[in-house]
Amino acid sequence: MLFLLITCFTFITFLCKSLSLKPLPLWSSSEVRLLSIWFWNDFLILNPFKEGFLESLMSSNVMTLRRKSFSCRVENVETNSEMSVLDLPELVLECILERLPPEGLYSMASVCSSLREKCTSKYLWEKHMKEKWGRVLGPAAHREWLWHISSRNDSSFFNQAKERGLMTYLSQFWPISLVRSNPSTSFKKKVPPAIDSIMSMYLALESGKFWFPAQVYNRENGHVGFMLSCYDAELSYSRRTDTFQARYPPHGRRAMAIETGVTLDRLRVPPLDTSPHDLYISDCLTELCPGDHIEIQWRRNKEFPYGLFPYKPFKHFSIFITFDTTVYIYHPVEPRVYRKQSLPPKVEAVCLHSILPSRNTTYGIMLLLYFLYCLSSSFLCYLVKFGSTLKFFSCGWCVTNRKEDYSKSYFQLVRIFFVFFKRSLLS
Amino acid sequence: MSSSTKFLTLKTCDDKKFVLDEAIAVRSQTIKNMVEDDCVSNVIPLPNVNSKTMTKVIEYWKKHSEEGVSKDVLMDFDKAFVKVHHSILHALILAANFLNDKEILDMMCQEVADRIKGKTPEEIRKEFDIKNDFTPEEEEEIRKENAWAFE
Repeated sequence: MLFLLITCFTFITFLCKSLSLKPLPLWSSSEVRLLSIWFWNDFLILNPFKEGFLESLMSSNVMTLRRKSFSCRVENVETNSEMSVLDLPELVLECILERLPPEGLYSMASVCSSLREKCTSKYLWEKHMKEKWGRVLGPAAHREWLWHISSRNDSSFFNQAKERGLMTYLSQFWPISLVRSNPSTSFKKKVPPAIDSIMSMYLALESGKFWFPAQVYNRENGHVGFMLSCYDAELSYSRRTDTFQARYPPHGRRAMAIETGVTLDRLRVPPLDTSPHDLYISDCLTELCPGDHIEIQWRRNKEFPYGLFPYKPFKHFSIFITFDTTVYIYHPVEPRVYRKQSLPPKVEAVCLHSILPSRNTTYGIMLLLYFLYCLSSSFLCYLVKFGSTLKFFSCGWCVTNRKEDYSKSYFQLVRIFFVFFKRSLLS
Repeated sequence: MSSSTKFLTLKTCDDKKFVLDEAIAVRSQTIKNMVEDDCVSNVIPLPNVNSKTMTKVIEYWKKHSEEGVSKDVLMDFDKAFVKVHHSILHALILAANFLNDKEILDMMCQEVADRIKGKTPEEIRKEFDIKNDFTPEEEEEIRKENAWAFE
């Protein structure tokens, strides 16, 4: 008995302490990321599909409730003898709604309350969403949408979200029947505003009122040196022109830039879920192989956001990664690009992803030999202190896509090395 | 199943009988299941289908079972087939659903969807005779959403 009392007491004190530790973090910008990660994790336990996380977070409860009210409403909608689409079997009606384009589905949602329940369903809009926006919407865009709806002036969604916060959270873990056993207590509204649905997200995107984060290729419009580099931007769609308006964050002293007429094929989901001002530390640098797809994060200076430089399209580029994690890019095929700038574009860090398995033994040996050469020459360089320019050419690790490229850039490098060597000797 | 032509008798809800080649009748999954399960005596009752609708369905089945009919002819036939009044369309959908004929059902659903496309909510209500049962507040909410989305 005594033992039981003691355990009880300790448990209660522990509970009290743990509860009074810290209140929930406020919705300040710094904590949001942390919080969303938690939500993310919770979600991943049950649902492996990343895209669905927001939708299921918000609409899982609403849908069941709506369905409940639906069944009792159907009968009194149509009482006259004339047959209507509403008294078609559920599956058949669904089959019809599936065949509607987004505009038709939206019109149907405004016809009557029972159709509204049906036509705002996650299931029907998910397809349209994936079809039109799936390619450019990443987790960041979904997060932005959450913010967008919660910050809207008429915060009907927000009030509801508060009400059902606990329910939604619990439904992630508890058997669904337990959580949803008594839904009528928390929902009194007959037709909840569809603001929290995928439909509203679709409409917001389509109308251009929602600016979503994504990356835009080649802002420099034809400048060879920067072609296909990627920048973070906020985008808004214009239905009239079927293009996007891009809002770039301030670059250095340059104010926020706006570009219009950005086509869909120039957009992509940011491969990294980090801020453009944050440096991504890659943990797979040592496993880098020729032919791997790499992307380089780079910026001019600290005032600028990072841009991404996908490596794959640049088959003829050689990338030199020096030991102080600085990356230099040299273009062996079009040396003009290099000469145009006083220095090759300096890059502050490297980010790598989607490592392709294209390992080749001879390649590996060549790379090893080259690496050894680099190591020895860099050691020599440091000893002799030839200066930074020489250091750049001598100590490095060459990564190219094809064999010819490899040898070409290798010889080019040797040639350049000698040129610099001669120059520095002369001076 | 025997190779010689076998006939089935279908009886609709208004007691009309249709004698049909089994090979054609089994386009309906429901009838096919009944035939395969050997629970067919002489007459197959179709309590959910009236004779008018069944005539249309059989017309479709026969046309699509004909040999040597070009695709264009079939397409024209289908086009004319769906151009019917709502009540018939509705009855055909229900019949196709009961008979479990996916081909007719899909075609009919597409037709209904096509009739909805490009119409305003008010036009849809008129076309399908649906009552607007939104309360003024809900109406306001929808109008607000509409303005927000398409303004």
